[in-house]
Amino acid sequence: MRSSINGPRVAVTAAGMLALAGFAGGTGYDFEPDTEGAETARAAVGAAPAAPSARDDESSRATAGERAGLQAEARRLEARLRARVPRGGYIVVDRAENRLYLRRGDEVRVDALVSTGSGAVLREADGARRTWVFDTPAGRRSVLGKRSDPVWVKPDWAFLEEGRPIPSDWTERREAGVLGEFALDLGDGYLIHGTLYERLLGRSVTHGCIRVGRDDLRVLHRESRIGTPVFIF
Amino acid sequence: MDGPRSFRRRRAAALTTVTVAATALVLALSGSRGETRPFTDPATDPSPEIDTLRLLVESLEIESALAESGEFYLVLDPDAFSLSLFLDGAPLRSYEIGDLQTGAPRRLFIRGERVDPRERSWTGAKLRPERRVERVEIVSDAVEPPDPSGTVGWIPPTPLELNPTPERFVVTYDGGVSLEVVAGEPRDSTAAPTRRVRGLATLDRLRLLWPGWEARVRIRVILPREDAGALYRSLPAGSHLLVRP
Repeated sequence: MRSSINGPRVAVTAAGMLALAGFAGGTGYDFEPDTEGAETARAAVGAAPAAPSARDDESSRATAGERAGLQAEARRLEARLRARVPRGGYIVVDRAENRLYLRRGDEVRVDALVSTGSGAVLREADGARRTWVFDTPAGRRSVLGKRSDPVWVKPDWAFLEEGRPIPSDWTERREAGVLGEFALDLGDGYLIHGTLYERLLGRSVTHGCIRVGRDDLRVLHRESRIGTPVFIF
Repeated sequence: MDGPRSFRRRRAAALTTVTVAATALVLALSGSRGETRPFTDPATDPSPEIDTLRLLVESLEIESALAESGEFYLVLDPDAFSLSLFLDGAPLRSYEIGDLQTGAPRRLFIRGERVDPRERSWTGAKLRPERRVERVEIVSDAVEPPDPSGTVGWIPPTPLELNPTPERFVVTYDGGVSLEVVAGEPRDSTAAPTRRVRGLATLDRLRLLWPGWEARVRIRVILPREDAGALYRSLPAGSHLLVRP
């Protein structure tokens, strides 16, 4: 005899429908505008500590003292953070957008379309079987040197990449005119320099250096100093 | 053949199951209208101003530590409606926030416990959907000498061509905070979702059904399309997030 009551099946079906309804509805999160806490924390730093009145007890004096201590600590930390921002201007390179900014405080002095590393990998088939990855490295660097009319001393990979033998005479490595009017040396062989291929600005085509158009390069060279920080992200 | 005892057992089981399901339904429906727990509860706190100052000092200490870490970090300032990328304390890029919301996860209809995203910094940024990365591999003995005419044979795509701006993407951080970025003006946020957005939302819901999933709070920001795209293409992997009080 089969039971006419199929409770478990009904319940499971109901639970399943409930789950589906929950699954299908909404994004999985309940959202609400977040203005909570806004202004109160920063405003509290500037607020003058309440002067304890004659009626204040020990506890309220302690609270006023703690408030003053916290306000002083907050100001000290804020000053420490402000001091970390480079004062004399700095260069920012956004590799993904292929853009370079020369910033001085909140002001952007140069907003340039550039070319950064292609990300290509070159493998040496013979010999030492070396590998090069043509990325522009992220992180903080600084301008170590400034050159006018720079001459490119071609490294080994430049010959391998062109299918040419590596020369034993170093003079064969020198190539003038390909780096533009100026170069800013960032160390480890990385430069900010000009280019013959301005039509490729905005694309990731370099071997790790940062190529800049002629007009922007002139401003960069003029406004940067030895030691100017360069942030690459 | 079933006897009366068996019939009674099945009926009892059925009633139990139906009761459990009904209770779950009641709980679920009541949970959907539950109030979100505020980050701080002034009613039970005798000195909210002191607590606010403590929170600020703690946040500034965290920000100072991040500034000295040599690693990239995003700072979300709900007061200023700004989102900025920093390294060594220097602002690198700011993204203008059009709208900002915080959300708590919901399993079925029940809202989960919300964490205060300001209580610490969040690490290990991961993007969903992931960015496309193209790496061409060249082997030196297979290289043809360059064309003497100077013609460039292959021009790589621009960043925008390689990674078009998604309508919506999520940055997840270790420990339970995720940042959802919606591209467009605030008024566009209710526009019909694209297939990719629907897919992402479905993935979210699937993850929320998974017991170990720790996305305990989601911060949704609406950025201008250009800013959203720039953030998507540029956010350093593994970077940190700090939400200022």
